[in-house]
Amino acid sequence: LVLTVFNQSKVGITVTSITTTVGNASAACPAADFYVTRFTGSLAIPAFHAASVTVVATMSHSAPDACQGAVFPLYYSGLGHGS
Amino acid sequence: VRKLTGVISVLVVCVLVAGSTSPATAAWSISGLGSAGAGADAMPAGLAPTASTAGSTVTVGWPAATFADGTAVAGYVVNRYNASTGASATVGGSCGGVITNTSCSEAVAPGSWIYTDTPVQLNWTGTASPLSNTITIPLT
Repeated sequence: LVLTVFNQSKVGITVTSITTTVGNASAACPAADFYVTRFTGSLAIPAFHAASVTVVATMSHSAPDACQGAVFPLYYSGLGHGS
Repeated sequence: VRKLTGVISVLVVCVLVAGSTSPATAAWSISGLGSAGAGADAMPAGLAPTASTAGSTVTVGWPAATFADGTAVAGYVVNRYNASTGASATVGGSCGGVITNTSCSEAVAPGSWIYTDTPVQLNWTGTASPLSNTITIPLT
């Protein structure tokens, strides 16, 4: 999963973490069957530029049949500081 | 899982930190939010099998079913039906249970029969294949 962060400010920033929260795809295909790793590190982004990181998305081997073709909503939050 | 791209936009918050004995310095903390979705693959349908006979032994073979990215499914379940009534029969030999090959054989009672193969992967089950050709095992 490629996450692209846009820095819309006029100063450079460094992103230090991005956390992905997974929502239920359906009542029969819960969020617990889908995992996304957390990014931690140092991602420098100049002003008005974008940068990307890759995180790993994995579906559980115990995912039920109802998860075929399911779409999991993903919610991202990130933290960082001025460069 | 299909590859998707998520997007996060950030806002910058400026915080002035004033020391009592040193000049004021500036630090920025940032936070951002975004959302996207990730779609799971779906099981492929089985592909039509071909059945052939040698005495009372039936050999069934079928093309491998693959996911959208070309990965082969883990296994198949083979079913046999009475060609006249459509009633399901219990398969045996190497056709019983979950099969990791794309062919199997079993000894079959006299009658006319048709087969299907259904892809399976862990807890997931695909759609059964179209029916095979009809094979007939004569009374001896």
